[in-house]
Amino acid sequence: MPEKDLRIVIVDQNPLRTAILRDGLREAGHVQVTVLESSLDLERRLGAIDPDIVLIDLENPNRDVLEQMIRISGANARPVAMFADSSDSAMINAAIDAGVSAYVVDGLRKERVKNIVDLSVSRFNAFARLREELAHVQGQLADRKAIDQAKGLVMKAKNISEEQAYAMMRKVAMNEGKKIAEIARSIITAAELLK
Amino acid sequence: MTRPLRIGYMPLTDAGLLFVAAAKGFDHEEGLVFDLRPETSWANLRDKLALGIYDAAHMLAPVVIASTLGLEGFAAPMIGAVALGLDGNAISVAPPLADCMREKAKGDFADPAVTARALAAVVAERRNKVLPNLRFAHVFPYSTHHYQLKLWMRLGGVDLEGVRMTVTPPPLMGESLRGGFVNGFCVGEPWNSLARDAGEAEILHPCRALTPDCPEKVLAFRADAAGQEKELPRAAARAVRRAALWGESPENKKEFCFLVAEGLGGGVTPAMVATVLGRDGRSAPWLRLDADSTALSGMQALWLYVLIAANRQSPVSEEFAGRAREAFWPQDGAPPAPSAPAFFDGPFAEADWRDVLAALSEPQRGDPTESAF
Repeated sequence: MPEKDLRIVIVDQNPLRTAILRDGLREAGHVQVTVLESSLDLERRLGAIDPDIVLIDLENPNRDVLEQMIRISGANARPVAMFADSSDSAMINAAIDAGVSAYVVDGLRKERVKNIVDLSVSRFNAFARLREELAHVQGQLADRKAIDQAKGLVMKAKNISEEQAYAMMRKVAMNEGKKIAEIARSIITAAELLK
Repeated sequence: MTRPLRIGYMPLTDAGLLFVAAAKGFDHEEGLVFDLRPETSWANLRDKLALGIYDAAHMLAPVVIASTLGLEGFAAPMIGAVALGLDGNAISVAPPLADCMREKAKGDFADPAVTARALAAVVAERRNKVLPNLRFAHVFPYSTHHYQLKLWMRLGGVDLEGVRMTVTPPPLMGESLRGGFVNGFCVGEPWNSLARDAGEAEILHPCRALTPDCPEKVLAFRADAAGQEKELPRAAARAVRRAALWGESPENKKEFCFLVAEGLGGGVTPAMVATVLGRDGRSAPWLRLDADSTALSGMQALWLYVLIAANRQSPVSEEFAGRAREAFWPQDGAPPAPSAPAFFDGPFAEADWRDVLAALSEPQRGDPTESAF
């Protein structure tokens, strides 16, 4: 359990990822978690919260705003890449891979920082997996749609049944070492051209 | 054999020579393949270069000096292998502020000293009326944008206590101006032109009017990696220079601007690029991407150190000055040392660096009242 409530701010435009991370932090006992989604006027809003740790996604251009803030505050806070000593290079690399960066106020116990960064990394990775799965499902749906459309084109052009059209496409795919969806897309493209 | 070079860049017009080198195959001719990867922050570029995720990066020239000197809290020594142009920033303000300034301006509004004095009058008036401080945005603590904004304000005797400096990512500049979160900014292209075309900003001055021939972005490498394999940065530098040379021929100008605009995307037109490069036959250039502008000199690095120290972001010492000087790999034909005609005579000279530092230094301010974190 944390010895004192840390004020943690999450700066991230992605509401789903933010929710995943916030829930994780709450489960770990951090109650003072604030989410800033909008990217404008970040400096003033962050200054009002006076956080101990800011977690920011690496794609967020506002990292440069935080760089300025830590300069003004007299190096009271540093990005985790600076906070960590060389023995923590694995942690830094994991954070960069996951796409998260942390700005941390000086003087916090290193283990506390590490726990939060580790948690952020695992939550960011969990989000990335979710998104991959979603993309996969969407890809499958798109494939099915293309195959149905191509099947229709073949049936019409050759005046054959659905099963025959599908068998034909499958045969071509096997011969060419391609996926049926790819063949389907070629058929659709060709049909567009020949219209 | 061609060797891949992972290069991180910010989508700015002065990344243009990288786009052109890759599109026209100058990288291949030097035995390299430029693998260009867009980034969203200078902090990302710095960290990913320091960690070896990139082999090279399009970098704010002062960041190379600051990282080398360890001013960012950790030492990440870098070298500048080649300049990616000279100058290129401009100062823009929100149209309502421009109108207030115009009312107070005495003289030619195209003269930075005139606009700066007008700004000083606006700032003083706001103080009397107890209105909130005006806010001006730049792009990074160690950036020429930051220093140029302050030099401009000092030209007119603006009370810097009455102005708040902040960082805003370039793509958010126009929106921040429209929302009233900032009142003016100094940024590189295409963001001045885009904000102006959207009716969000009025461009006051290209910074070439303040600090002509100021180094702006360089292609940076990690100092240890560059030292171990000197030929790699040199080959990359040659590819960049060849891209610039190619773009100088009259018959290639059009394609050059097209390639730069295409590399940037997002509403940037070849005409917009041609205007800032002074290649439309009408305008004077604000951004130099010619071959001469790509050569670096130790004097440029020393100049940047002086700017950093003048902003009290670095201790002043001969040792730091010497280390800064070594951070840029010098090339033949480097442009004249930068100057700031309003602050000292002639181009910057090594023997006078402490005098220039004194001329550029801000008056000592009280304790900063800003609280951040």
